Amino acid sequence: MRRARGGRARLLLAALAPLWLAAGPRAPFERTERREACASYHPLRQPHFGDTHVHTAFSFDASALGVRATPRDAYRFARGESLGLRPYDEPGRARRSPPQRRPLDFAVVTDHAGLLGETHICKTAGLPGHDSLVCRVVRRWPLLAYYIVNSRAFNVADPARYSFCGPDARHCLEAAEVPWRRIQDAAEEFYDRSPACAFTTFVGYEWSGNPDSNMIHRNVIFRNASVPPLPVGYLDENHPEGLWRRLRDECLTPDSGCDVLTIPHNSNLSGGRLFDVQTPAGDPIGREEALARAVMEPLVEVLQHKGDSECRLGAEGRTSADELCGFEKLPFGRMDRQPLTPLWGPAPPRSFVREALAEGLLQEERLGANPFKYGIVASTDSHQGTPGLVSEEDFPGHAAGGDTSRVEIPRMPDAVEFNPGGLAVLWAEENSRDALFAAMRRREVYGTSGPRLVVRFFGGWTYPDDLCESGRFAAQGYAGGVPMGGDLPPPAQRVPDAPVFAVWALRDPGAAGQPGAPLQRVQIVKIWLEADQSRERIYEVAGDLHNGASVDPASCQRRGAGFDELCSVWRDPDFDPSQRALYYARVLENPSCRWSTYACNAQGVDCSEPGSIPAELVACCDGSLPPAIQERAWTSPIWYAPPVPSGRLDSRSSRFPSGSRK
Amino acid sequence: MTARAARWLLWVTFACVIPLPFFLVESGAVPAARLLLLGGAASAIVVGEGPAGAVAIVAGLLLGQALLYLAALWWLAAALARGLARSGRRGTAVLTALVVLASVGAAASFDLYRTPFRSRSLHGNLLEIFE
Repeated sequence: MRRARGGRARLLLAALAPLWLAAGPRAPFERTERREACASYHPLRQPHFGDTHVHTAFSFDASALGVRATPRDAYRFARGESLGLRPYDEPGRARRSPPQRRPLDFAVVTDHAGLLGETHICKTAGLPGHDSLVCRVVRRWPLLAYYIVNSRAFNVADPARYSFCGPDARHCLEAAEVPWRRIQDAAEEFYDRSPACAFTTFVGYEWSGNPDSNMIHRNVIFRNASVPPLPVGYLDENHPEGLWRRLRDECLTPDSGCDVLTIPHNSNLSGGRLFDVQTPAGDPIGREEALARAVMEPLVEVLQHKGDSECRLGAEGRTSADELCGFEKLPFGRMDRQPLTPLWGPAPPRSFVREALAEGLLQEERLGANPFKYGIVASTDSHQGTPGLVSEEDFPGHAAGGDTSRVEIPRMPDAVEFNPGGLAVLWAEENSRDALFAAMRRREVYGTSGPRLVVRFFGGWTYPDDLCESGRFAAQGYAGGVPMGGDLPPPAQRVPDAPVFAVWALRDPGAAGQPGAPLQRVQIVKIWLEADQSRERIYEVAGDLHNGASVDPASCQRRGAGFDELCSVWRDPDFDPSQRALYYARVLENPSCRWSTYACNAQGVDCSEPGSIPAELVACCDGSLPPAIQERAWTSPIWYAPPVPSGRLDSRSSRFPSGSRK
Repeated sequence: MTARAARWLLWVTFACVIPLPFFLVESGAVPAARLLLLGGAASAIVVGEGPAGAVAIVAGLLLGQALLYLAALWWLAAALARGLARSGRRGTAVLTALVVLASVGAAASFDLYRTPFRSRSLHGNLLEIFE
């Protein structure tokens, strides 16, 4: 009997072992999945580099432009394996294969939810609708279909399904289940649940609305494998509020195990509508809407393939001009203006993240809730299934609008105003879905324009001046304040001294054959409210603005000194405790060649002989392109709120509005 | 062969073989008949599915350019047919046949056309452009 009991005990222990493994170390985030514990667990967190925005051939536009990569291919590429790219030869062999020099830590395939089923039907013989006129046009003249079908599904205020979708769109919704299942299967297959925790995937998709050609897209990212039966596209819900309602109804229900967030992108092409402060009915948003939005949408994508959205060059009404806002700016404010150069012009108000952050302070003052309390990430928006392909040196284009390499290798791999995009960096204890998702939720994230800069940013009231030399930067940073994405804790005294910010940046070491550039400087961007107006100021806090660094456009050799590491403890010299404010850090590398300069050099363009330059390469010599850029990182902000008078609303007092979250 | 018949034959030939520049976000050079074909497909979608999105603009741009070129080619064919008619009916037939055969032969032998609206390469000959 004793032996038998001992056997049962051993059996019980054996049965419980996986659960113990699933629990892992005691973590400050909720564990929602069964997996083995990560061998690498750091309580003070580590940076994880990834891409939250990637399309494959499951997206209609990518497919029409000749992309064949599947979500599995995309995850393989993210892990460092090679991937063939368009164009393909007659036997179907890819004619290009860009290097992915460094694997990513995580990636999310975010194919367009809209047209997911339609694309599958048009590609799959035997399905209802496969022989429809629209699908015939899609197969025979895919580029023509690209303009026709995309515009109907995404670029109008009231998108409509094609008749081949059948009654209530049944055929297309049923067809969408297949790619949606494959997206989930690929995410599961490549998610490393072993103790190595080498690579994390998330199930996701993109909700892609362009009402009147104003881009109000959102990436939808699920925490774990518990996801709704179908993604919600613009054809299903044509307002972001509808998307969020569906996500609340279909995911954020008690005991569902499902959790989700959305990340808006391309505010630079949104006509100011990405950061709308009106309800769909046209009323000003209220406190409930602001809180719901802040919960659903904790992050914003500041840079991607289709331009930088941080700030407006030459912003008026500010206390300082920020010349660095000229970085990767598109010359048009709507995608439909791209081929119509006479209509190019500045984007309307609230088209940039900094403007939204300022608007958020104003809304918080008005409502007691900030709808735009955004953490900052960047990503690629690759439509080639190439997560993290951010190298300027051998950029093959991203197969989005303007990319002509569907059938032939072009001289210029992309429209010259676009760029390779950036990376999202998440500070998390370990490389697991729960840890990374929690990092996104608390906004302890930052974005880079491509390089793998490591940046920490803390805010508090009592950091010592010698924090950088203490050897305990992170430990003291967490102990004495909040990391990026947080709210400054209340000060010890009633009338506080100025807050103190500690920022530390480490250069990208680069990869074999592509060393990273040295750092040039660190800035802190402050936005505050003053007499119901937002103000901004840029402070140089570390490094050397005048270090004389440059790059030779002919050879792309970098010149001049820089820094391997920068660190600073900075106290706001203009702090007014009565003014609502936020602070974020921006880290700049020394100048380096833009991708277009590499491409022009590779083509052997000689600007002294204008007559010899092919039309595709005219931009190499007409002065319209910056030959060099300064790669950078943007941290999520840290917010300061004045002491709340009793009875006054404060967004920190209620994280989740009623009915929005468990 | 009458001048009228020659005019029609030459017009159809020109419409199918002469590469003409077009613009539809992207540009290229294709026969007017191909623009008509694509414009017809887009128009069929407008009729069957409604004009939502850019389909009506796409159809209009394609058909507009096609009709413009067809009118110009009609004038060109008429002028040429009038010239050929001076050689008598038999001469008109022979010369018209020569023009048609030479045009079609050249168009089928060389990559005269360039269009991104193909599934394969940007460049192609007459047989490939209507594949």
